[in-house]
Amino acid sequence: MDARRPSARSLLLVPVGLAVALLALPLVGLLARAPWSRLADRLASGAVLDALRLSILSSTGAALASLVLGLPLALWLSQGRSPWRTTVRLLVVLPMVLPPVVGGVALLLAFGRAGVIGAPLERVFGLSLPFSGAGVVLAATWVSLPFFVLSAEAGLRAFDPRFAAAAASLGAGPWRTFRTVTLPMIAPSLRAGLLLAWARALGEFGATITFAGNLEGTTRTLPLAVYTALETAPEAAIALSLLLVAISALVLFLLRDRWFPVG
Amino acid sequence: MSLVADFTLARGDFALEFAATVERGETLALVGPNGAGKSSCLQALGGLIPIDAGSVELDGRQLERGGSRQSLAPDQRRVGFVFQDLLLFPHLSVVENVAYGPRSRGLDRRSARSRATEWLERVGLSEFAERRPGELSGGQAQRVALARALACEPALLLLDEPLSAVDASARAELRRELRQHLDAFDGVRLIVAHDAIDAFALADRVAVLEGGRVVQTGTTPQICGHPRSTYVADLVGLNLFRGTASAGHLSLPGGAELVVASVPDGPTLAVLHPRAVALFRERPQGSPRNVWRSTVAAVEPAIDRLRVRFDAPVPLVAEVTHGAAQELGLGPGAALWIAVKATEISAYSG
Repeated sequence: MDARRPSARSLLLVPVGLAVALLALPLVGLLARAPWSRLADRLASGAVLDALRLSILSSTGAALASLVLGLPLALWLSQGRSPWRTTVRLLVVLPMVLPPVVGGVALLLAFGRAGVIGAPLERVFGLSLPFSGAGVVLAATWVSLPFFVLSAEAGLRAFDPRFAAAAASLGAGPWRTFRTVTLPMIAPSLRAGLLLAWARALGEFGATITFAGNLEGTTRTLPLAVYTALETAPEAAIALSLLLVAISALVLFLLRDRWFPVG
Repeated sequence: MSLVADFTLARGDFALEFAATVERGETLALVGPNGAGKSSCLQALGGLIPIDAGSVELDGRQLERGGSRQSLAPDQRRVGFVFQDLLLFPHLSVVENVAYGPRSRGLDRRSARSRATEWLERVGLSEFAERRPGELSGGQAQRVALARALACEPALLLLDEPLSAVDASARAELRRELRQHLDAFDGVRLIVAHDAIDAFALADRVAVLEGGRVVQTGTTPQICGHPRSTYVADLVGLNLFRGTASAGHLSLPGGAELVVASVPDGPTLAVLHPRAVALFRERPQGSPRNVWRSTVAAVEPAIDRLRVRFDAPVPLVAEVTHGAAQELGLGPGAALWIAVKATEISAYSG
């Protein structure tokens, strides 16, 4: 029996190799075709810098919106006893499984100029969300909010409520307890959630192009710029893709403690 | 000035009935088997779980009245809590942990910190002020937890198995220290103890909880000399017999009878120290009034002796030295003669 073990193990290496190849080859292709010598010129153009600035601003906006809206939601989901919790949790994960382009259509029908909310919004406040920078943030928030909520809720569930009891026994009211004990103790989960939400918002394409359009300087984020450039200037598309790969690598590096424990 | 508690609470299948009055400057220990309700009792007094009926009063102030929604929140009670797992805040330094209470009660940062520093000095941990709780030994963390609770100047101090996180080697020293701190604290002290030594060394009185109710309350000599349940007898290391006395004879449930020195007739409890049980290979001659033959059920090592358990006709434990065990040829199944002097059995009304 023992003699057969090594061969069983080497048999396992075949599918493992295939999976690794599937994951790695696209990256290899990208790196192989990259116009390394002209990379700096390609990336230094005004349009690229506009897209980069817009992407970073809108992703940061979406991550912050996820924090502001998502933390109370995660609290309610982790502690509430409402019978609506299951329904709300379903709504929370919906953007993760729904095709983003469908999300874009849905956002258009809700917040568009003729939308259920968009029409009165424009009539009363003169506010128009689609095809604007705010629209980019709204679309990105819609896709990235689940990542923050799930991460924050996991952190809150792992938090031992007896620490809150200890704070109460020391005279801290509920708000002080939350601010000085709960929040700092779940901070790693919140940080990871923010980073995931930010990364997801950065990569958003379908919902953005459907709801906010592809207007250079206003709503053309990096992924949209890659898509646009692929038609006319493939080399620029590769350069922009490399930029996104570098940003993703940075995000992975920042998440290393959480996902890649040593050993 | 005291704690007056008399309440009931139910959580699922478990029901707790607790009544006790503890004076300022007095320490009451709660002992009892696992699941007896000791920790629930502390949590109810601290306001962490609600009571169903009855009331809790501290220094004449009503903390809670069951069923009336008149309950002070934990942060309003002036009750200090030392939790079994200590629950020091891992993200705060030692001095910040101790300053947390004073700060929560409205002291400014600087005053809270200086009070915390004072308390750390008192428990001998000044040089650890800037450490994180994770860097402390069990005994040091225990001292910090005590300082954190006392720095709030509570009127009632609750300690849940305060020595359970400490190594055996550091226990005696910490127990002595804890006793000093308890004596210096002039509020009401309640302590849950798992260990008999902890209970008797730290407390002035002991309340025994079994199955959610107080079965016995008394001072150390009262509890040790007259245990009223098998749990307490085991705790203090005595054999306990429950039966009916009549004319100096104690009839046990199994039909066996013991001769006891002096006892009023009626339901009776009797204790016998395991070392007062003599074992022989041949029927002993002479004065012992209680002599019978029994088979060894089990032999367990104790610190310097062996504990020999017999099941029938009288269930009891005898303690013998290793030398005596060898002479007797001790082992499970060995048939021996047991002799107990009537004067060694201490009987009292049950």
